[in-house]
Amino acid sequence: MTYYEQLVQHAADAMDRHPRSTIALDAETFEVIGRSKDISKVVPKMDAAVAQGRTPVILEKPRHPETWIL
Amino acid sequence: MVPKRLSYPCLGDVPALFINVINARSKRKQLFQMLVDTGASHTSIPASFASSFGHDNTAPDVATTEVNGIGGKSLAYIHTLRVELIDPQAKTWAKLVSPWRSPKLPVLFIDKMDTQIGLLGRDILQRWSGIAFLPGSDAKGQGGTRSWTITIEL
Repeated sequence: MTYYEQLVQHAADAMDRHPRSTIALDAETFEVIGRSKDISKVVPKMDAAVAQGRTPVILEKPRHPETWIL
Repeated sequence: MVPKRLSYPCLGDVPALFINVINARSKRKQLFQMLVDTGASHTSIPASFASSFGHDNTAPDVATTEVNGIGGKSLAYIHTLRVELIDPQAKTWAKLVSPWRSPKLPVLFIDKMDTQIGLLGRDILQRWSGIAFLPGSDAKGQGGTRSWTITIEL
């Protein structure tokens, strides 16, 4: 399995576990850095992770089934 | 020269890529999901995500513009960033080497954009040699869920 396939899988799992939150994952370990319904509460945790040299992945599950008309 | 071809599996039925979004000033790098949107002239991100990329929509020197979309007109904040593809073949994070990085670009952070992902617009797509959207083999009949693979030719 490639890193990208793992990333897609972990992102899907995280969004299913926390469907109403903004989630920040560590891109290397896929650990949850922070999550909250309020993105402003996640940003400081992401800032701290970036200061430690980590790369966050930002995720939010669509609130409802979306029909794209772009 | 043989073009380089990169194939990315997509999450669910949305033809979107995880890409690195890089703050041009701080070099801060974060992964974000972006819809590959040939209908968008400019790369766009919901304004609500600006702070998570280290941008401040309320800073006095931030330029704004008005954009038009299906939902009508909206205010957009303009921030400068780069985007970077990640290597879809690398086995581990440690072995990731970016196969392509954009120059610094003005990106629109749109006020009335109520999506959880960004849009990768033609200002970026035009820099690649080709893009293909390949439906998966898991179609459940007409209108059913499909998975997608996006192939980019550099």
